[in-house]
Amino acid sequence: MCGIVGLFLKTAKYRSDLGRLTASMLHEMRARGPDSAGFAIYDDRTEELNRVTVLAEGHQPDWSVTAVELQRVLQETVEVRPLRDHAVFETAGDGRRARQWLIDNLDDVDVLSFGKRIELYKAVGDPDRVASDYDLASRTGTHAVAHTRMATESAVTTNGSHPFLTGADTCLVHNGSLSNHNQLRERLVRCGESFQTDNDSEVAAGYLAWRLREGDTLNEALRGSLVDLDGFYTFAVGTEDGFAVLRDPIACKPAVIAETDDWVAMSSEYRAIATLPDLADAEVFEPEPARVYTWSLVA
Amino acid sequence: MSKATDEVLNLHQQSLREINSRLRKATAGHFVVTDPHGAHAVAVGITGDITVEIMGSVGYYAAGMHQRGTVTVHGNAGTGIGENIMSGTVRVIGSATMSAGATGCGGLLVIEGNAGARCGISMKGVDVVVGGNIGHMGAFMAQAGTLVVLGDADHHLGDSIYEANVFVRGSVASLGADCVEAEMRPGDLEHLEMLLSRAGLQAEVGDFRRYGSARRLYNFSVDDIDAELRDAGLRDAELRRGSGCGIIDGTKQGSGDDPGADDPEPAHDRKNLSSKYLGIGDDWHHRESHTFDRNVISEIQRAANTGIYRIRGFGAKRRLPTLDDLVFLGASMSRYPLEGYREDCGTDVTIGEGKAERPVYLRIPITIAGMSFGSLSAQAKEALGRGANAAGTSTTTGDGGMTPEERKHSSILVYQYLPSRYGMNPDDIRKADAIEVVVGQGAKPGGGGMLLGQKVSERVAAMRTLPEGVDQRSACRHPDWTGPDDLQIKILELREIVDWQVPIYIKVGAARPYYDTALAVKAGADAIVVDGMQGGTAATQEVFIEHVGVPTIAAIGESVRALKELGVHREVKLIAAGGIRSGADVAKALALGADAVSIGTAALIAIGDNSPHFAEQYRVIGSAAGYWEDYQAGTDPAGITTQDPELSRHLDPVIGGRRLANYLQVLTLELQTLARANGKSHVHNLEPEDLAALTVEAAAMAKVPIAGTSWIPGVIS
Repeated sequence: MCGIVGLFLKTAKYRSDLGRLTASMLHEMRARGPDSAGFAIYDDRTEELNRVTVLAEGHQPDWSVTAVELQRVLQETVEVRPLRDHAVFETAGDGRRARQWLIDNLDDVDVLSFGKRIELYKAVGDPDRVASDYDLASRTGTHAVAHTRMATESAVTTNGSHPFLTGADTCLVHNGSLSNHNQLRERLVRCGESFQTDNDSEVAAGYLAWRLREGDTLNEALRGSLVDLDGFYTFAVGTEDGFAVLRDPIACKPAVIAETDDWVAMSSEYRAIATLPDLADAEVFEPEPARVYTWSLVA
Repeated sequence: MSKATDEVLNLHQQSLREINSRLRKATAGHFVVTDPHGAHAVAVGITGDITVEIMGSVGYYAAGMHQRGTVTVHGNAGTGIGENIMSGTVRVIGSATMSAGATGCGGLLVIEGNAGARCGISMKGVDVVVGGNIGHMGAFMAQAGTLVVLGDADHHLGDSIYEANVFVRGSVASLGADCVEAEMRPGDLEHLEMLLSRAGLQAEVGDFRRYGSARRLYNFSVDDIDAELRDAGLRDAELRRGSGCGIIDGTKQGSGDDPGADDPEPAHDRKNLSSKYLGIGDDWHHRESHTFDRNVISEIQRAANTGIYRIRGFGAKRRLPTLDDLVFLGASMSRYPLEGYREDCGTDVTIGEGKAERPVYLRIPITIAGMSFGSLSAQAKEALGRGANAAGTSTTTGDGGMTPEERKHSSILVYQYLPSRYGMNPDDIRKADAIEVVVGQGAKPGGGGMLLGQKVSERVAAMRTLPEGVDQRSACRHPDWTGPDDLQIKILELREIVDWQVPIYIKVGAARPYYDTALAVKAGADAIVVDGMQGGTAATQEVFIEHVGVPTIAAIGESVRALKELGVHREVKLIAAGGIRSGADVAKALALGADAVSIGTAALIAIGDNSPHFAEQYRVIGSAAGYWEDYQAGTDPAGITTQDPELSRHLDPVIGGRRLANYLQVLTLELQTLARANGKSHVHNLEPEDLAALTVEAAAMAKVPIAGTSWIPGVIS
């Protein structure tokens, strides 16, 4: 049970403020999720580099050694930006290969995200502290999704925190509670997905990852989840150049969307949206049940 | 819009509690609330004839339980705007999200823009006018009042609607179960005209269509093949050749493919033949199947005859692991016992210290569980109140609201806040000594309440805003929140409405007690009531009673584990319920970590349920004293689970109250006996280490070692 927010900047007007605006939205969702928080940020740098965000929970290894080894494997320059127990590896080399090498060769390290534009941070504790520890407010970019968690059935751990990766540059945050995730997890494992937690939301992410890998568009994958996922959910999904929202057909979990010419924002509660600029110009509405809403930077 | 007399209240500079308190105490005046920024529970529980302008958008439950005055939101509104509004006017200049006007009992709610899902859910008399469109499940289970939609309505409009009226000008995506388009009746157009005028919205009344109930779901559809055949005058022999199975004239018949049906030989001759040729004795013909025993066969026959699941009262009847499988170790050489009577053994418990201004103080850790007037007679409610008063403990309302009589007869009364919100109103909630938000019940975790038509008398129907005689099936989810993230906002609203005076409990059926307890704590409860599967009910599906939930012995420890992990054990109080019968049960529940217990069925038995005094009357209605379980039927000879005025008189509430007081005294004395025997000067010092288990299953469920060992199955030491 949780608070979720998403902010998608259609124009350049507020892109230098993305992190600050997302942090202020996240702040409003603290009460809904005091246990842990996380955010994914899609920045607007133009370099065509692949990025992998990793987490070594509770410690800060010497990532430069890892970067050198990875550079040797990829035969391309690898830069690393450590931030507390997270680090972002950047390379012009093969991103998927980098991700796999990091998974295979580093003990006690979790790969949180990979792709061209996504960086993903998550930690246990007060959402405001997580935002400040990982410097959310200073980030710039085109869009972000973020999450505050009140754990229901699975443990309060960093791994159980959202967002969950669903593929290259794609991640998901969830508010609600699924009721068939255990059998779906088994099915997805047989289809080649792997899971790190007993969390229902990770299964939703794994489901989307599987559908996307099988060739579905995001829209198709989300529509598929209406059939295959049982229970209650509001999802916000970030992709390399897009943003999506979906509520289950019963739609008991709250969701509000606000849209102006410059931005689209989604949150569990209006108070998060109330922090945004030009709100007076926004169209504010409750997303309909079982309807996939998508926005894209690509015309 | 600012007037000279305005009082401006700023949500940045003043706390929500200060602002709500100011508005609630005002009897007249004009107030402007600034900087709401989506805040929750703004301007809730207003009672005075005041006007309030909120200058911006609000979050959940703005103007909740509103009475008399006028609240205008100059912006959008979140979940449950004007929920349970009683009178007065609430107006939203923008749009509203989910559950607008949920369970509203009167007054007018105007939403000038769109309204989201479940607009007018379970409305009980409010008029709701929406200028734009509404989301799906509009007017779900709407009981009374009028919903007017100038735009379109999304899917499942008016699902399970009762006597409410819906007028829609635009399109309707689909109608819900039992909702139909209906003719405009005399007066409908005038009423519509009046509502549009009061709402200040322009529309031509002739453009609207009316929707209402087909009333096909008001009562369970019950087939009765046997009665049909009986009425057709068919003979038993003919019946047996057909599919005749079931109970006919009280005689159980064989199944349709009875091999003897066309056998000319008399039955006793066949028996002799079997004995002779197969070497089998007479008993072979009376051997009962374990898989298909008489009860199973009877139930299959009943199901085949009626086409409806069995509904009954009482609790689980099959054998379940109970607290009887635990024993106290007592004191001897290593521990010293206390002297009975001479050395004190405290039994009191206080609930809600810290958050509530008026915590609940109980002299004994045994409370009376929630049971509604409706499911119980007024006499029974009075008897429960009298008994509880004498013992210094609390009683609890039920799914139907508070009667003046039960308030009068209960010194400490806990007010249940249920999904149906039948009879829910802010005046009564403020008269309560505690509020119990009911999420579930041990007899039926995941199910809603039920009250069959024979008990929905004129008074019960009026209290619940239902047509007399309907088979009432209550909602299983609350209309304006799901999950702990929303519940913490609901609790904030309730605390604001009662000015933080009284404790808030959360009651759950023992489904996943570890998680539910942790989430209740996170949502901000003062106490958690965990009701094990032995918990009783006045009416629900038998399949629920016997097959859903975990036994009380297994639930208590799981709740305690959650409380301990969160560091709030003994601070957030745990009340265990479900099949508590004796002082030994109470003592064991406390030793496992509960702070108090709650009794329902046992209390009813104490005041006279199943009494041998009514043996003959029980026999006449096909049961016997000690077996009666049909609380749903309303035919209770003991006058307890009935609304029949004649039967109700069988219970003398004064005598019933004395019996309950005696019973509570015995439970307390037994509890103290066991506590003293274990060396405790207060019953709350009982602990799991004072217990041993007699069976492997009890040891595993209660996490207490098997007697004579230190072994707890499933726990690695």
